[in-house]
Amino acid sequence: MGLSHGFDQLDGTVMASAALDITSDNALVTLKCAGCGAEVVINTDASLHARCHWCRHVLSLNDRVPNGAVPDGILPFSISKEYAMAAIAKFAGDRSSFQHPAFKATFRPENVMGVYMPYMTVDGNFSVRLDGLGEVLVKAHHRSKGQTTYTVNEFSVARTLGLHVDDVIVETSSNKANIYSEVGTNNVINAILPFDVKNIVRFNAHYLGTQFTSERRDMNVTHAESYAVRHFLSIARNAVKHSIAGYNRGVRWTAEQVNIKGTRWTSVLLPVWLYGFVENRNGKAITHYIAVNGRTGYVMGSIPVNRSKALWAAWGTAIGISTILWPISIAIFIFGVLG
Amino acid sequence: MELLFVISLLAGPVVGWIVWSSINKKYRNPGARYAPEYTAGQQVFDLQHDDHFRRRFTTSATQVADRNDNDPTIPAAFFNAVKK
Repeated sequence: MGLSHGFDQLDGTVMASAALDITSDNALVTLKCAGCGAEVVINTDASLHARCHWCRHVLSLNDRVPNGAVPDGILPFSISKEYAMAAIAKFAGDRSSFQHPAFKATFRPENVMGVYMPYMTVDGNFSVRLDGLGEVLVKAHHRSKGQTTYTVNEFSVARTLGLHVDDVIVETSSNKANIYSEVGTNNVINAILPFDVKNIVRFNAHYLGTQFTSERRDMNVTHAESYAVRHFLSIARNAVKHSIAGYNRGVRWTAEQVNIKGTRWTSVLLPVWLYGFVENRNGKAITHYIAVNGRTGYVMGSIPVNRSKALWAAWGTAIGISTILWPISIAIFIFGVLG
Repeated sequence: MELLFVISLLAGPVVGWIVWSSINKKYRNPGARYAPEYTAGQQVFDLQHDDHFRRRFTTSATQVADRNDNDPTIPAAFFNAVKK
């Protein structure tokens, strides 16, 4: 779509047309899932019924909500459902020993759903200043009783740099952006990024067809900016990594400042094969996902753990080793320490 | 001898804890995230250093306190973003 050039001339906030305008396409209908509250977009030209891609609840046309924005571009699926099913089955199969019994009983790879997830790609022109404290080891002193102390030189550390970044992908679905949620495993969905966003094409509702649904974008550029800045800082920290390698005890960054000169935003739909499972733990619902990148086939997921079985394995190992070693430690205590 | 005593006493619980956390790590992937620092196109320019010696001291800590240079998910205490 020709949106990856002229970074040094980026000035202010530039938004592609659909990232800016809230418009409607008559064929697209957004339905609110009565099961989990997700807002799912379907193409009514191709299909009049669909299931929620998160919880597989059957959606009703009576639960229609406003469409929100039509995206600028879409990256069509290139990985087939059969491939995604095989990838998910292998991912779960590699983690079969401690699977939650309810997950194991209901696991059906054919229930994987193709979803176009809403994201924005951001090009940025910005500068960063990082301030912190770094330490260099001068000498290690090995004391008696196995204790070690370290003589250390402490430095104030500052780095300033300019950065042009291309196609940073930012979440625009608020329930997915909060990756630190205790009741979700949303982090695994973003972990299948990146996508080959250079190959996005103009959005057309027919890409949804009968097989795919889409998630409504509920964050605009203003909301997504804070997530973009986090990504910019991750890039900046990594960019200065080689220059702080001499601080062999590490650096504590205490202040981070970003001066954004210009950003360019494009709203896109990216293809994800998604398998969801809701675990009820002590009355709290935790949603687990296995996601497959619809372009590269990369898989990441969260499998609910059979906690009692895992605890038995951990305790069993601890007890087994201790049964052998504790008599030795008692002997050492009696004959060594006391003697 | 004292070190051997401590090791033989704690080895079982420590290995048990490692088993528990490795199962959770393998199944739940809590650390999985989008890593734009490795995947997004980027061009760095005008990188400048300004480092100064502050003091020499002795400590029992093995690394700088609250180290975050190796983990971008741990933010700095102070953060500011300015738009032109």
